[in-house]
Amino acid sequence: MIRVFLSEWRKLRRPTLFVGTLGIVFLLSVLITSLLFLLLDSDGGNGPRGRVITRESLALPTGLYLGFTNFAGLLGTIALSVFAAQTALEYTNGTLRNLLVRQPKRLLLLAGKYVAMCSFALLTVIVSAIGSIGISLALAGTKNVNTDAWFSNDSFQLLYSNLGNVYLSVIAYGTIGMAVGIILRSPISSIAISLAWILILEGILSFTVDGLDKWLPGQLMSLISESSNADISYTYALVGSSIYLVIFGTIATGLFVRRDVSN
Amino acid sequence: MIAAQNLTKRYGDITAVDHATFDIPAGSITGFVGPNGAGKTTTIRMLLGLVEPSAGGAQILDSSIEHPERYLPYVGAMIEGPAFYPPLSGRENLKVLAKLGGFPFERVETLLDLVGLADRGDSKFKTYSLGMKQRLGIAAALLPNPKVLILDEPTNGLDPAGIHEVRNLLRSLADSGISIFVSSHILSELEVIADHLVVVDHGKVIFHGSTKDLLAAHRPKLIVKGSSTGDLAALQEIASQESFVARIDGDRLIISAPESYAAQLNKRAFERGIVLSLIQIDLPTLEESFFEMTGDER
Repeated sequence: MIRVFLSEWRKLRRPTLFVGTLGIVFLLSVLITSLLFLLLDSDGGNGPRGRVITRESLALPTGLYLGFTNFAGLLGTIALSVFAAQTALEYTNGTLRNLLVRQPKRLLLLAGKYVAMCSFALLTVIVSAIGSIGISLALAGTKNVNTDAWFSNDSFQLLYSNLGNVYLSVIAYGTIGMAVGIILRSPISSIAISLAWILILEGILSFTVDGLDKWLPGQLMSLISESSNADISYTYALVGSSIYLVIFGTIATGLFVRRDVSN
Repeated sequence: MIAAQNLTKRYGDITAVDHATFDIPAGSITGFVGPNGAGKTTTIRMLLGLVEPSAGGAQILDSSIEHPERYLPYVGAMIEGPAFYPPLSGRENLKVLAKLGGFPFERVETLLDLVGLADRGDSKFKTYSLGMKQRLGIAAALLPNPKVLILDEPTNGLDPAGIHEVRNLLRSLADSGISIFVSSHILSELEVIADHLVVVDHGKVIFHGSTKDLLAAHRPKLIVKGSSTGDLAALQEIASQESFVARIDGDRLIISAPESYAAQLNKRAFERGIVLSLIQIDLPTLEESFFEMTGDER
C-alpha cells in the first residue's frame, strides 16, 4: 500500500500538475477572496451569484474564512478533474497494464492511488486556505472590516470545522471523478460529462424544479462545505452524499477489479 | 517454466484464444508466432493476469495464473509496445515502476545504462524516438531481475543495429538462465534467436516445439551436383525410387527430402558410380514453414 502511494506521488509531483494545480488554486482563492472585500460596497454584490455580503457579516467569526468557503465548490471541481484525469489516463496511456504487472492486487493498487490523490487534495485545500485567509487579513484593514471576532476561540473552532467540511466535500467530488474515470476510461469524457452534470445540468434542474436539490449529488456535496442551507441540513447533505459515493465507489471498484485490461 | 492447458478466451461469439496448450522450457528463448489477430496478445495478457481466461489454465514458475501475485514479482513484461507517462522522464518512469514493485533505484541506473539510455534518462518520454521508447520498455521489463521475461514485439521500431543489440541482449539473458517468451511478426528475427516456437493461428496453437524440428519437418531440400551434368538424370531416378520428388535446376538436382537422406543418397550414387561434388541441405525459412502450416498461399 505504501509502495503504491509513493509510486503514485511520483506522478502527482510532476511540475505541470503539482505546481500548476496548486498555483491555480492559490491564485483563484486569492482572487475570489479579494473580490469579496474589494466589491464590498458594490451594488452588484460581492459574493457568489451576486449575493451581497455586508461588512457586518465579514466581521463575524466566520468572516475569516468566508472567501475560502466560497471557493470550496471550485476546489471540488478541480479535485474531480485531477482524480478523473489521473485515473482515466492510466487506461488511455496503456500504463495500467504496467502497474498491474508490478502490483497485481488490484484493490490494493486502487486504494493506494486513491489515498495518494486524497493527500494531494488535502494540499489543495491547505494552499487555498492559506491564500484566502492571508488575503482576507491583508484586505480587512483597508476596507474597514472589524477583525476582532476573527481571532476569538470561536473563530478558530469554526475555521477547523470548516476546513474539515471543505476537505470532505473536495474528497467527495474527487471520489466521483475517480469513479467516472474508471467507468469511462477516458479523461476528456470523464471530466466533461461530470462537470457538465454538476455545473450545468444540476444547476438548471435545481433552479427549475423545487426541492430537487435534495436528490442531486453535486448539490449535496457542495452543501457539505457550506455546512447547511435553508432547506437542507448538514447531516442530510452528508448522508445523501455518502449514499451516492457508496454507489459510485462500488460500481467503479467492481469494474476496476473484475474488468479485463485489454488496452 | 510456462505451461498452458486448453487456455481459452471468448469475447461473445468470438474465440480469441482457442484451447491453447503449450510448454515453454526454462532458460530458452521461445518465439510466439502468428498473424495479426491470432490471439498472441490475448494469450500474453492472460498469462500476466490482465485478462481472465474463459476456460483452461496456465502456470508460470509453477504458480497458477489465477494467483498472479505469486509469480509476477519474478516476471518482466512488455505488452503491446512500451506504455509510459509522456510528461515524465525515462528515468522517472522507471522509478514509478521500481517504487511500485519495491526494486532499488540503483537498478534503474543499471538498466538505463544497459539499454543505452543513460544520457537521455532525464528527457521526457514524449520526446523519445520509437526505438528509445522500445529500449525503455525493455528496461522496465528487466526491473525485477526476472526469471521469466515476456516481450511483445521488442524490436519494433529499432534500426538494424538496435535489432542486433536486442538480439544479443536476449541471447545473453537466456544464457544467464532467464526464460524468454517473445512475440514478433518478423519471422526471420525469431528464426535467428528463438530456440523454441509456439505458432498460433486463429486462436489455436498449431505448433509448439523446437525451431529446428519445425524447420526440419517442413519441406527440407537437398541440393546435389554430380561430377558431370549427365549424372543428374541418374540421381533424379535414384531419388524417385525412394519416393522423393526431385527436379533438375540447371546444373543441380533439387530433392525434397530430409537431411537424413543425404547419407543414403551419397551411398546409392556411389554404388551407381556417381561421385557427388555437392550435397547441400537447404532448410526452409520460418516464414515458409509458417505459411505452409497455416495453408496461406503467399
